[in-house]
Amino acid sequence: MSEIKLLSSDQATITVEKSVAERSILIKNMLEDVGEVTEAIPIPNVNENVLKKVIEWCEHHKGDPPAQADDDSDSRKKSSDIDEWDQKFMQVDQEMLFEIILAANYLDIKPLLDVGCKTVANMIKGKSPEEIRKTFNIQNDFTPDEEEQIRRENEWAEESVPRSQPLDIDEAC
Amino acid sequence: MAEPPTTLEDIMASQTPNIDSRNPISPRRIRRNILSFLNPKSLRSLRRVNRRMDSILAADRPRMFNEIRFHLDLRARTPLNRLVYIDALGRIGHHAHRLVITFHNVGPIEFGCLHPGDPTRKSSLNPLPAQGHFGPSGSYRLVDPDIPVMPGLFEDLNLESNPEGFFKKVFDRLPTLQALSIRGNPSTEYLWGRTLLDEALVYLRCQLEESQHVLSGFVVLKTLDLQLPTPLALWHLRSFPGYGDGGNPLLGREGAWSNVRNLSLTLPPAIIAGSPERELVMSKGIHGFIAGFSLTLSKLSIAGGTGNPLTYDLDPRIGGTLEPMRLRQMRELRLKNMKIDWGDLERFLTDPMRGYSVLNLELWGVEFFRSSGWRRLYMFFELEHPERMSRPDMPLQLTRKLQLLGRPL
Repeated sequence: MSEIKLLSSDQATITVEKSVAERSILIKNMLEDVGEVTEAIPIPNVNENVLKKVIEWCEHHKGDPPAQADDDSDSRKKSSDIDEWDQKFMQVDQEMLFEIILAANYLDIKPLLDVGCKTVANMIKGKSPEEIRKTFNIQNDFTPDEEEQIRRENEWAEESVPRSQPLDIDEAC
Repeated sequence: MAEPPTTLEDIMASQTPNIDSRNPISPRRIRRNILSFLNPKSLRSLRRVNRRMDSILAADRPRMFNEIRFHLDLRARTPLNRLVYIDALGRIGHHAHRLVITFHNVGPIEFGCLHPGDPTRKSSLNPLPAQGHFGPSGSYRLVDPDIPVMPGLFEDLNLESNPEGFFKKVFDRLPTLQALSIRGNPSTEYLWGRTLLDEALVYLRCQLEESQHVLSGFVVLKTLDLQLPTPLALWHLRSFPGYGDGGNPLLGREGAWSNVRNLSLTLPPAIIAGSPERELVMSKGIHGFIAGFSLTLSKLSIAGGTGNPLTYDLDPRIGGTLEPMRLRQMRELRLKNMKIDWGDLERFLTDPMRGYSVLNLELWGVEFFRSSGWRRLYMFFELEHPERMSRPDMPLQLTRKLQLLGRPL
């Protein structure tokens, strides 16, 4: 069983099974380009903590079939189909979650990228704008007029009966 | 090196290219990936979070507003023609392909007087469209005087007193409309007679015809989905030339309906009319409505205990009184929650004189299904006439055969 070394952005060296590391298309392509390597492969965009988490995911999923190319079918667009292990894996603070997503993107690990993006999508789904702001610590910088304009546009697409609006005489034709 | 983005805003707004040129995925695709897992409702909530999010989501407007929904409470007190409300539709309407209009609080009305000088035509039980419908407004009177009618609502809809009627304004702002759904939720049970919905549907249909994109031929609806609380309501959506009083005389043009390919009807049983005579009138009305699409319809779906073409021919009170329906382009017929005698059904489908597969040569399948999930599909296929087997010089004749899915006959 061959192993390779990865060098994180904070200069930590992590030894990992080659087949596990090759879940990353970036690393797989690098290894194919340069052949056998004895020195640690620099991963300049990913720090040690995040790299360890990514490797943990790759080890768990090393037997999975290779990811398909971009698939826009409806089945791929469901955010609810995250398996139990992945759900637990993604129970991290937001900073780590976004770092994992960025690392998965940089290392080109599409299934991990999907799991991360689905997790973020699930944190948004079903929430009101105010709840989303609270969840992600975002400041509302809309003026009342801007907010009202968007609310009225959205009202045309809402499924439920909109609240009865008080009549503004100036608005009436 | 710059700090990596570690907030939702940063990661969504990131424009940073990849350091490694061999990596085909750019950070912008992270944003696209997250958004692809969100439904339109969540996208609409997200755009209300702050300016940056609203800006990021600009490219997703078509998905957010692909379907426009409008709820009209027929007893509400709020006038419809509010400028900011209509202006908002103007900003998003060009994304919309489907419009779903739901009428709430549908209920019976009683006319003060349909025809001055003819006091006998004064009852709410008169199901026929009123002549002079677009006369001076304000003549409506409810059966239940305690239920308020919104002052101004029907003035807003009325093209005569208000040339820019509300529905016309809506349709004028939907240049890419392809599908229209109309739904009605009755507030009370009623069997027969005109309702507020009937009134509103006439306005809706007339103003659709008057809308600029229909008049110019730019919009021609392909899908019509009707979920109405009474079959009578269909009468107000198209005229029935040569069908006596059954159609609305105001509806002279058929431009908006001239290319409907998919028609979906969800109607209650005609038996709600209360008497066999009224039931027959309702069934004829439904039959006439469907027949009006005979040249273009390719898919017909019907749900409910009546209104299906099979019923007309199988019901001894109705069968034979109407011309067999010919839908020249129809390929699929789907019938939900139908009560049917299976023996009669097979005869109906293959009868050489009135059989559905004989009259509708493009029809390849009839599907029955129920809310419980039960499903049965009949498929048609064509065989060469047996005589041609022995006489190859004989002109080609095709015979349509029926096959029950999973159980060849």
